[in-house]
Amino acid sequence: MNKYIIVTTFILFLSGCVTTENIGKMEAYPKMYEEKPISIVVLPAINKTTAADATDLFSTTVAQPLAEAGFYVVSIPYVNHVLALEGIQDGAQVRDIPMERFNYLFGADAVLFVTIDQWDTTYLLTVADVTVGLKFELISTKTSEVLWQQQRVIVHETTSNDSGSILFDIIATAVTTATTDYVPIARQVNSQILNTIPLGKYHPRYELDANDGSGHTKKVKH
Amino acid sequence: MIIRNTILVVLLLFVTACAQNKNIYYWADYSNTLYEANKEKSVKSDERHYAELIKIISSADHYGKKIPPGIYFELSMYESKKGNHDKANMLLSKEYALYPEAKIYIDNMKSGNQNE
Repeated sequence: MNKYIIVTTFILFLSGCVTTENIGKMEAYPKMYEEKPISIVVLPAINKTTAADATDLFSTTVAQPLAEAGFYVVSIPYVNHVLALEGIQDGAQVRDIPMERFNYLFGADAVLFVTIDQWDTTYLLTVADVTVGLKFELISTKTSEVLWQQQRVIVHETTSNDSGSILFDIIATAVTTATTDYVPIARQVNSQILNTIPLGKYHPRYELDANDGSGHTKKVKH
Repeated sequence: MIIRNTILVVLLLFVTACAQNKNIYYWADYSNTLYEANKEKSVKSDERHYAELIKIISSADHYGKKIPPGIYFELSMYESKKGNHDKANMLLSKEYALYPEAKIYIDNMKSGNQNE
């Protein structure tokens, strides 16, 4: 009995010492606040999955959350068109191009590279999960430095309505997921990640978000 | 019980109203029609996206929202493809009026319209 009390006290003591604190956006991404990028070019995503559709799903849904975060998003169909003329299909082929080139071509302050690491659908009886793993990197066209980055695995649950019959639900889930409209899922995943970017000049809270959550935490000893 | 439900409904309405008003821009069904146009590449899906762009421009004001970046620009791409270069340039000027930071690629696009 005494042993338990000692262990519990010890754990309480330990957790009292070290706490996890959220790192604010300013602390996590100081270069965003120094450079204040306005205009962003989004490159075609680097797709490491077997889901052929993932690149298209990403590129058609990213403009909305990125613009809503306050940035000028250079027309994505236009960027894709210009890059296709150069034979460029995804961001991996662009790594060696000097970043200033994107300022020259599109007037962009920064370039967004996106890697799709995972895009899977798992069936668990009446529930189906869509798991999406994405990595975002915003690179300055002035300094070629990383201004902001975020890597996330997001699980999105798609469920059919409860009909009262488990067998029916299982079939219904498989059918719903097969024809699931992935556009809203992709848009949601994009906005969840973009939630952590320091806001741009068209957002009403521009320059007021220094202490908002950056998606990163740190351990603090007291 | 009735009071509790009423409070809940009012609260829900309040929350959804807040969520809707947070957007800066009016997007209509933009990502869906763009996705369909990319995926199918048919005249029909192309026209649907074109119509959506027009709808965004004509209805944004009604919803008390702004026209998102790139919408006038995208519409001008359709017009240059059809050979309507004057109309395309007029739309590019509108994009510039809303978003002056787009100047460089608007100018690139305008000189392309003159060359053709």
